[in-house]
Amino acid sequence: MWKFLRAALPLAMVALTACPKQSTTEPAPAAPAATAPAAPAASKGATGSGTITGTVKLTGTPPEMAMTKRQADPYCAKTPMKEEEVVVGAGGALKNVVVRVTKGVTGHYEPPATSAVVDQSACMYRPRVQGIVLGQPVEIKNSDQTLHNIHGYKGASTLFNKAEIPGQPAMVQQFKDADQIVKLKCDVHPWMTGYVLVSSHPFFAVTGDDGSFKIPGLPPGNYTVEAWHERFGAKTAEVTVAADKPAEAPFAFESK
Amino acid sequence: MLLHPRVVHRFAVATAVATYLLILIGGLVHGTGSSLACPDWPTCYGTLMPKMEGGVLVEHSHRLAAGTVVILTLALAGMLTASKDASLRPLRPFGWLAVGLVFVQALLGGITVMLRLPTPVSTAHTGTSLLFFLTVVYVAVRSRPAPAVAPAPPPPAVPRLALVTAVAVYFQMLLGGLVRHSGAALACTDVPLCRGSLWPDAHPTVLIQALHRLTGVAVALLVFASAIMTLRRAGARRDLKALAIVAPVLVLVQIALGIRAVTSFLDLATVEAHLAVATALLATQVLVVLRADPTTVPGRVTFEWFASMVRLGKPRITGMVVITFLGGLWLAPGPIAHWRTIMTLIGTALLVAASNTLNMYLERDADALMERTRDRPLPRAIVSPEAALAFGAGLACVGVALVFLGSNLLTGLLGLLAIGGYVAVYTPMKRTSGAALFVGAVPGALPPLMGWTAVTDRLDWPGLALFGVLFLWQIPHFLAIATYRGADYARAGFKVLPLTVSLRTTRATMFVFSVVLVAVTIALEPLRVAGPRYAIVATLLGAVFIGIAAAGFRRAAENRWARSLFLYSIVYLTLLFVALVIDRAGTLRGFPGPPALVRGEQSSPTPHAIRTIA
Repeated sequence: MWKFLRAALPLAMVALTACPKQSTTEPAPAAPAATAPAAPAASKGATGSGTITGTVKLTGTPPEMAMTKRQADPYCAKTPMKEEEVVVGAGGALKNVVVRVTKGVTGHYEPPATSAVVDQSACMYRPRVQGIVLGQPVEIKNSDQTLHNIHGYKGASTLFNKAEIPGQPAMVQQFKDADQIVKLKCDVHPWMTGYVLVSSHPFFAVTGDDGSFKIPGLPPGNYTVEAWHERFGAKTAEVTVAADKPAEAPFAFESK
Repeated sequence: MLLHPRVVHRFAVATAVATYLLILIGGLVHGTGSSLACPDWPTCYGTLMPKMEGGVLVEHSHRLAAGTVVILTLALAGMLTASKDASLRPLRPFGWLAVGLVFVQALLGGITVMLRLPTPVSTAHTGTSLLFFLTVVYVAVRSRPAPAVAPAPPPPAVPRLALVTAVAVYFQMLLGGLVRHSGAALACTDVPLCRGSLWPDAHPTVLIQALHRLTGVAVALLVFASAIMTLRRAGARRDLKALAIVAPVLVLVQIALGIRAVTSFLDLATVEAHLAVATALLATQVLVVLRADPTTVPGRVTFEWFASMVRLGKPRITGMVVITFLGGLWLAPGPIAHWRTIMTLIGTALLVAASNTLNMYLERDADALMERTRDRPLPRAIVSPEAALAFGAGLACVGVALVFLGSNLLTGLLGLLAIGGYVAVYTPMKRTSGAALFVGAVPGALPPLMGWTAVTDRLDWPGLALFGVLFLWQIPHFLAIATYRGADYARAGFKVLPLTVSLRTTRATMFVFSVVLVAVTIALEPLRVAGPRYAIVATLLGAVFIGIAAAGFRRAAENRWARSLFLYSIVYLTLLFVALVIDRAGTLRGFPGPPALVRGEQSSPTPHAIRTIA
């Protein structure tokens, strides 16, 4: 009859393994990086004059975005806004898609000297989606007259969780692992969602209102490019870049 | 061998443990923001074996674990059905109830993913998970082979208080699920006050959080009371005493975790522990119920059982009371949102039904002795007292929550006063004093005032006059019943007025209250609740009422007179309300009516206002 009890054991195991190590601050091992994380002493990454451009489109009827349910906070309630999970422009142009090179780039790239900024404004993250190079600090500032907490997730596990009262100087956040998309959530205002791509190299872009992107400065060669959208997931394409003319990499997601 | 009761018992225990773990994994799904990590259902990205990383790991583990529990539950039901052991036979329906619940639960999980997490569905997913867990715990405890020497059961008060506590913990957990799924978890970031107040003047989302805190204190007090009762009265039952020591400890830990969940901005481990401790607390109370009372069954669950549960709430009387509530709401000056009307209406109806159910529970012995009531479900033993008690307590929990969330603090407190006054004061007082009538008339007259305050959010003279009409009306109305049903009441041991004082005094009381009643109904006109046309109708109807009441002095004590007064009192109240409503409707269309107070306009701060509760 113990075998019945044993039936419960795998469940217990699942429960234990599923529980993310929330409070530990050690970096999570082995990011699912396509590019082997080069040792800091590795050769300087190459650059060139090649470019990948394209547009990302959404086919089918885009999902209706509901109003954010922000009445509970009188400050946020002053500016009613829709959800911005799926933002579609003319001709199905899909905004806020992260397009990045996932294969074909090696070497170490220095982060830009300036920090990236995430602004909490009218109870939204601005910009909602952006990319940084590993080592580049992210300033998270609160322009709102209300309290926000910034809860960063990698997958299902918490990277950090800090509060910012109105008027507090921007907090500066550093990321330890490259090639991950960190999700930002505010637990006080559950509709607030943002994303920061942490890249090991500068070859990424985020689509704008017209759904277009441009990744400049690539040396000629063969690359794997991934387009990622928070709702529709990821798609990849193989691209050959020549020095003289831009390589096209169109992507299309389907709205179900 | 496989169907030996001991094997079935252990299997049921294993299923209960697995369910507990499943609930915890379920909590992780929301806590890690993984609810939509798999965009499809039941497969994840079209496969049963997706790449297990990030949110997918959590969400899909929950699904796989749930699948395991479904298989365990099916096996358990199958074992219960196949076993020829007589002691397991009564558990068969519960085995299949568990199967039904686990499938409903899976479906709710699927629906909430496919509809992208609507709050009601996600909250129902929480509620069903606990019902399923309780069903499996029930089977696990009841399938335990009886020991050779049965331990002496403690007095029935022990399991009954634990039962009420368990119901309260269940609904507190459901409210906790609502806090989570409605995004109210950090609706206020200060502790213990919420935005500087126990009941802030804020959006309903904030009130969900505030209510969860306040009811948390109430539930904690219940758990302490239940623990003290068990420790004092459980005699030599070490098992019960151990549970009674564990439960208050869990409550204290739970409160600390709740506070930390807010101050840490929903630290995952804290939030998860808050769920784990709550579920454990629920289990302790249910274990006390089941172990302290080894015979309890909810009754034979048939169609008649369900129909009887509805009868416990006295649907017709509830309906009438709800109409008086709507009357108050309709007459009150000012606008009220539809959703508020609906929530408060349902909440009030549930509070009335809960009062009736708990009253029937408390008076089940006396009801068996009275001709008028001996056909009720409890005297006829269609429904067990425990089922009635749990049902009544559950209705009360939901009713209180709906009234508080749907209207305002004042109306919520009036609702508490109504159910508390009826169940805790009036019902026991009926057996000791004829004056109980005057106490019982208060909860009976509160619903129209609640309708009024749901709109105005303050106690003012017009609202109180409405309360007064219903309060005063009940005195001659019920004394008339007591007069012609006196013998019946005497048999049950109720001290109604005609039995404790002389019939002459009773008739005098009825007359005096009739006169005051008519005076107050007419006073609604100068109070600007209604216009002059209503006043004419009220005067005419009232003259007849006083006339019939006065006729009691002329004749000898006669049941016919009492009956006619009783019947006229119903006609009187109905017509009076119709007149009020028509008068108000006329005002709305612009006919001359009561001046100043037109619907949609805030009542001016009159000197009548006794006090204002913001």
